[in-house]
Amino acid sequence: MSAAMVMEPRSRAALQEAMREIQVMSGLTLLRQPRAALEELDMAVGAERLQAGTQEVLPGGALLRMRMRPQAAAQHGRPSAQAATRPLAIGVTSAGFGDGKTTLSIALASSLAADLGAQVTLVDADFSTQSLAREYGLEGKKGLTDVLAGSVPLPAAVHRFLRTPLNVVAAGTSDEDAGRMARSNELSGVIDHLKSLSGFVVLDLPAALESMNAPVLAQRCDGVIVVARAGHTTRAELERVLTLLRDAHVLGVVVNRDKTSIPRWVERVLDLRH
Amino acid sequence: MIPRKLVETFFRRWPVLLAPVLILPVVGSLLVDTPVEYESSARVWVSDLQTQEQSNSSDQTASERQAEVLSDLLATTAFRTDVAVAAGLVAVDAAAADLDHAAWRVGRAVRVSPLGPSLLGVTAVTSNATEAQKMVEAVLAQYQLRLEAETDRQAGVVLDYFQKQLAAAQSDLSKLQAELASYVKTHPTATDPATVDADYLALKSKVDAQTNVVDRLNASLQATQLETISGSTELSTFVVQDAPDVPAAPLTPSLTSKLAYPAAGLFLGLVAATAYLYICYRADHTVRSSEDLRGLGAPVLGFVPELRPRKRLVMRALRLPSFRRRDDYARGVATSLTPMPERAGGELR
Repeated sequence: MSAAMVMEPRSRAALQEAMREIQVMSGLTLLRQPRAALEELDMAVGAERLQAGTQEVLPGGALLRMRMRPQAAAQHGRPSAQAATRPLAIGVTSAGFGDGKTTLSIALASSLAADLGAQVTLVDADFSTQSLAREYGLEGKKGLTDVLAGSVPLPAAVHRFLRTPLNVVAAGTSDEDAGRMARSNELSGVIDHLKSLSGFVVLDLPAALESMNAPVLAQRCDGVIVVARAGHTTRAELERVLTLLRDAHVLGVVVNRDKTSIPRWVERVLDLRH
Repeated sequence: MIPRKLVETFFRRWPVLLAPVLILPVVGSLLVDTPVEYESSARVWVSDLQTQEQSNSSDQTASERQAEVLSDLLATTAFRTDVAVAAGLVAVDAAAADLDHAAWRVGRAVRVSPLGPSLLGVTAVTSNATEAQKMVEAVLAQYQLRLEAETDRQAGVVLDYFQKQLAAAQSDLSKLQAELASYVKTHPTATDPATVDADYLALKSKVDAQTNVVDRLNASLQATQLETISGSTELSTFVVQDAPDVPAAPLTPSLTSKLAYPAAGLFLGLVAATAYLYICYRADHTVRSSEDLRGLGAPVLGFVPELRPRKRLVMRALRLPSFRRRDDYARGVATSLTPMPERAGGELR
């Protein structure tokens, strides 16, 4: 039974639709390219991608390359997750609680694992809320903080799915100071270890405006996605988040829970764009 | 180009925006729906009060002048109070506040307007048909009373003048006549037509002239007395042609008055809705579109639409457990990806 078959069909379809919208894969693909290829793609896509990054402005070729399944990509000689040259650690953070960073982390990791067939490790780096552990029913289980505290080895904290190449590491139960752990060299070692095991490591980071650990943890990642909740996160908050993450590699902003009340015909008549 | 956020604000808040646009015209319509009113009116024929010379110097017609006079009278509290008492709106010995209120009602109800060069209209509009008719009658009656009083006053002045002048002229005539008689007595031949006595002739001429003056004054006095008695001066210029009657049906509001308040309400509603829309738009600093993210220095990777089940209002209203709040739905979707229970040893299946 494939991984897709255990998923709820409607939910999975909705999620895939969401993933198509966010174009997270575009950022990941670019990150994985050799420098020359990256520059080439930047030239092909042009400045529009950096400004808007939406599906509509991307050239068809680049878009196809970003969305292609591994097999199809291999046939076309295009880069894919399996053809990646180095593993990646992607952090997902947001301005505040409830913006959807955990949901997006889960969606991103699941999509990477299911659609690209990549080995993915989803890590709960939000030590205070432990929202990822709640979602997977891993409350009270050993996790990242326990590994950093040295109470358990890393393999014992990794919870693995049998049918999908997805591993989950909960936040853990250790009472050690979260700030100290975020700044520890051990964390870098753990992340590197996870990267050696997986093609992708997705870290659910704390909310940037709620925890001072978020910028420190973000710097440990190869790229950071900032989640903004439509109609809730203000531009000033986003500016503060980006200022805090100035030393990290911010891949871009994903606007979550986007909804519109504008009828489609009004959008067409007024030529409104997202 | 219209900002997307402005359009979004409009469609998101359209019920609130629509409310003043709908409610205020309705409120305006309710304001127009005033109580039933009755109108009673009288038409009065008026002639010119002024002399021909005065008439030539003014462009006003007789009815316009009378309308001004009557309007001036209606501006006085005393006249309105008299009208109110005469119309039976209030007792003459009522409290001052009641008298004032009744006078105010008269001033609000009664209108005077010229209908033609010599035709004056007096109209009263009240909530009671009989009251309207009595009010117009009272206005006309009180006005006529005041005209009579004014006529009597003016006639008295004239009569007094003529009487004094006549008395003085008669006194002078008596003196001249006595002087003439004395002269004739001392000069018996003066009356002889064969002789010519210059002094006699001069004296006689004075007596004749004074006699003429007395006769003229007498005639004027008699004419004035006759006018006073017959009432053929001012009153003859104010004749009620159509007496006020009790209106059988209430007034029908005009289309303009029907639409004025709703139109004003609609205008105010639009202004209020526009102001509210603008305030909401300006006060919304949240991120909604790529326009809001411009200049941040980070690319927009995309927009994740809110995941929610189809709207089934009845089911949602019943709060059935299968229809979660949409806030929980995205999390539910993510969780549904991994519904497998944990296996011993830290593995999930």
